[in-house]
Amino acid sequence: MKDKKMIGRGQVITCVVFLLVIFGGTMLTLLSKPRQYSERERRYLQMRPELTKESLYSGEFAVKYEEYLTDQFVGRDTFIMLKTSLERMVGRQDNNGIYFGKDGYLIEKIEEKDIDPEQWEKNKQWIVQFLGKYESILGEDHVRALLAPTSNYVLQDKLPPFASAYNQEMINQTIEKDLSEKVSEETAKSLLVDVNQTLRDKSGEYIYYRTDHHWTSLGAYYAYVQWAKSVGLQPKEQSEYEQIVGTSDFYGTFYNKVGVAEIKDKITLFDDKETYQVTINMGEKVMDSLFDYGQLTGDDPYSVFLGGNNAFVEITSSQTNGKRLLVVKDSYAHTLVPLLAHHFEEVVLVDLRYLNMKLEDLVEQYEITDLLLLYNDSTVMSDKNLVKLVK
Amino acid sequence: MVFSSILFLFRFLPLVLLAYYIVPRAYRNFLLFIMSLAFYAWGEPVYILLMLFSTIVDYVNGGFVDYYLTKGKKQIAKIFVILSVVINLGLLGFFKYTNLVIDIWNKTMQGNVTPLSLALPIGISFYTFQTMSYTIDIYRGEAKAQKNIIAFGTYVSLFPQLIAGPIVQYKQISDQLTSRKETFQQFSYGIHRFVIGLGKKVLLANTTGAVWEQIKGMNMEQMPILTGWLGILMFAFQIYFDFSGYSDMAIGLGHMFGFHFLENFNYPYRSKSITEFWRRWHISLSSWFRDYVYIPLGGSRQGLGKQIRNILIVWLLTGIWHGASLNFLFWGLYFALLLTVEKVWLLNALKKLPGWFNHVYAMFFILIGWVIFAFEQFVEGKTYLQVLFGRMGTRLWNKETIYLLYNHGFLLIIAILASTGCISTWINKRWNEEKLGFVLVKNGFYVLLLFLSIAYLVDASYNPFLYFRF
Repeated sequence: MKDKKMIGRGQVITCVVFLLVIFGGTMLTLLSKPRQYSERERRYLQMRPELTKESLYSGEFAVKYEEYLTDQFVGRDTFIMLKTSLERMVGRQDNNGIYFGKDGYLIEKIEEKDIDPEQWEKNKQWIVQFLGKYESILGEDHVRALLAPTSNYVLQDKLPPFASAYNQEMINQTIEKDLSEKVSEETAKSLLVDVNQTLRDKSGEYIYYRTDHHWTSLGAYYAYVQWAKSVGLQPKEQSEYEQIVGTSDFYGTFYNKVGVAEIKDKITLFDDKETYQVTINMGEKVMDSLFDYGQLTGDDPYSVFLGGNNAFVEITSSQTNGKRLLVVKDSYAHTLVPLLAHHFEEVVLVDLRYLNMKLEDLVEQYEITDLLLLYNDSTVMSDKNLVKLVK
Repeated sequence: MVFSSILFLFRFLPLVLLAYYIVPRAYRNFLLFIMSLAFYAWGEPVYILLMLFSTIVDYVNGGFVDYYLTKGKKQIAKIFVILSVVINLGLLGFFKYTNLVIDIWNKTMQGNVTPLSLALPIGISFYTFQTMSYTIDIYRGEAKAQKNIIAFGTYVSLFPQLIAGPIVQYKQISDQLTSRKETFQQFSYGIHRFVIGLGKKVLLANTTGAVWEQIKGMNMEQMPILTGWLGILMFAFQIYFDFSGYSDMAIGLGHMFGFHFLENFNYPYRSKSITEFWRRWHISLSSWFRDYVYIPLGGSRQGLGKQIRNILIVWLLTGIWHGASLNFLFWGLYFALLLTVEKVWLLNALKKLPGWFNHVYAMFFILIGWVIFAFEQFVEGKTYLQVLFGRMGTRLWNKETIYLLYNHGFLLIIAILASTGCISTWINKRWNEEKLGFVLVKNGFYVLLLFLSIAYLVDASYNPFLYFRF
C-alpha cells in the first residue's frame, strides 16, 4: 500500500462498475417490455408467471420465474451471440448440437448419447412389422420405405475438421437384415429405397439447406427418381418442373439453434404445373396448389411445402388412374410429395403424432393402393410415435 | 437459489445490498436472517421450517450448555452437547441416508421397504455441521453462547455460505456476528472474489462439465484410452472450478456484508502428495473433521495404530459426507489408504524424487479418485477404470479424441493455468504496481468476466448444481 490514493481509485472503479452493472441491469430488466415470441429462436418466450399460493408452494413459480428472467433478459440475443462468437474464437466447432461446417453449412451433431438404443430397437421392429404386413395386403411393389439420411451423413466432406458423421447407412442395413428374416431377401431389398449412395454421389450439389435440417427440393428430387424407378414408374425429368425461387432469405432451424449463419438459404419450388386440390385436416384449409406461398414470409418458410406440419393432408390431382398413395411421414415428405403427386389420383399424408385412428382402417376407408413410409434418419431412431404403425 | 443465476445477480443481490446498507446497523442481522430464509426458501419453501427448527433447537441447546457450564455442572452441559449432536446428525441421517439404508437392506436382506420420496434439503450437510460446531465450541469454552437469537439465526442461515460452504465454525465468526465493520476496501475486495468465483463456475466449471458429460455419455466399450483420460481430467476441472468458484463467491459475498470467512481451497492441483492435496482441498471440511473428530479421537498422539484407525474413521466419514452412495464411502476409504501409506513410508520416499514426479504421482491418484467419485454405479466406475488402463482393448485415440482436443484444447489450457494459479501469480506480480493503467486493465478484466458470465447464464444450456447430494 504505497499510494493510498491510487488504491482508492481502483476500488472506486470496481465498486462503481459492479454496482452499475447489477443495478443498471436490474432496472433495465424491470423496465423493458417482455417479448412474447423470439424470431431468432423460433419459440415462445416465458412471460412473467402468475403468482398463486399453489405455484409458490410447489416451486413451480420459482422455476417459471427464473425461466422468465433468462428468456426476457435485456439484450438476450446479443449475449447469446457473444457467447457463440467467443466459443468459435477459441476453436469450438459446434454449438448447441450444431456443427459449423465448411462453406457455411450448419450440420446437426449426432452423438451416441443422443440415441436411445431401446427406442431405436422398438422402432426398427415396428417398421419391419409394418412393411411386411402391408406388402402382403397391397401387393408387391406397392409398399416402400424411404428412410432419408440427413446432411450429417451425406455432406461428410462439409463437416469441420476431425468431426465424425453418424453412420446412417446402418439404419437401412439393419432394417433390411431384420426384414429379410420375415420376407424374402429380394423383397426386403426392394421394400427399402436406400438413397444413401444416390445422395452422397450428389453431395457437391445444393441438396440440403445450409441453415435448416431439411433436404432441398433438389435433394428430394434425386430420392424421388430412385423411388419412382423402384415401383416401376417413369420419373419426371428435372426439366419438366418449373423451378421457382420461393425466397432467398431463408434462415432455418439450425440457425435458430446457433444464432449465426454465414450464408442464407434459398428455397426453390419444383412445380409440375398440374392442378391439385390440397385439403388440410378434413377441410380446415383448402388450397389449389401444393405450395402455400403465404408461408414464405412467415417465421417458418419451409411450410411453403404443403402448408407445413399437419395431421392429415389429402391431395387430389387431375389423374383418374384409381391409384391412391398413403404417405406416413415426417416433414422430409413435404418437399418430396409435390414431385410425385402427379402419379396418383389421390395422395394422403398422415403425421403419426396426431393420428387417432388405426392405420389399417385408414387404408381401407381411403381405398389406398400404394404406401410410402418417409422419414429422415433422425426421426426414425428417436420418434416415439412409430408404434402407431402397427396398432 | 444459486449464485450463478440471473435471478441472483439481477434480483436478489441488488435487493439485499440496497436493503442492507439502508437499514440501521442494529437491524442488519435481522435483515440478513430474513433474506437468507427467503434465499433458502426459493423453490423449496417447506424446508424453511427445517432451518427454523435447526436454529431454535441449537440456540436452546447452546444456551443450556452455557448455563450449566457457568454453574460448573459440566456433566449436564455435556448432555446438551450430545443432544445437539444427536439432533443434527438425526436430521442429516434422516434426510440424507435413510434411502441408502433402505436400499442396502433391500439388497442384502431381500427386504421390500419402499424408499422415501424426500428431496434432500439443499445445504443440510453444511448447516448441520455448522450448528454442531456451535454447541461444541461453547462446551469447549472456545466461544461464548450467542444470547441474541437473531444473530444466531444469521449464523445458521447466512446465505453466502449456506448451500455450498465453506463450513464456517462458530468460533471463527462469533465476534463478527455482533460487531463487524463493513469497509469500502472490503466491499471492493468482495466484488473481485465474487466475480472471479462466478467466472470459475460459469465459464470454466460448466464448460469443462459439459465435455465430461459428453464423454461420460459415450459407449465405454469403444472409448479410446485418451478420450477416457481427457474425460476424467475435465471432471476434475469441473468439480474444482465449481466448488472453489462457489467458495470464492461465498467469501466475496461475505466481504460485501463485512464478514471474513476462511479460505476453502488453495490450488489443490498444485499438490505434490495426497496429504498435501487434502490440506488444499475443501479446507473447511477437513478442518471440521480434524477439530471435531480426528483430534477428539486422539489424533496422532496415541501411537501409529490408533492414528491409522483415526484416519480411517475420518475418511470414511468424509467419503459418505459427499453423498449417500457406497461409491463415496469407497472414495473415502481410498484416500484413507493413500494417506496411511504416505504417512508410514511414501512421503519420505517422495522427497527424494524430483518435483515433477511428485506432481504426476499426486495428480494420477487424484484423478483415479475422481473416477470413483463420479460414478455412483460401481460397475460403471470399474469399466471406466478399465478404459483408462487399456483393459477394454480399445484404441489409444480416434478421430473423436482429436476432435475433442481440437475443440476444447483452449479450454483445457486455461483450466490448467487457472487451477494451478499460474495466471494469478503472473498477474499479481505485475498488478501489484498500483498504476492507473494496471488498475484499469484489472477492472476491465473483471468487467469482461462478469459480462461473459452473464452471456453464458442467459444462454444457459448447462448449469448444474453439483451439491444436491452433499
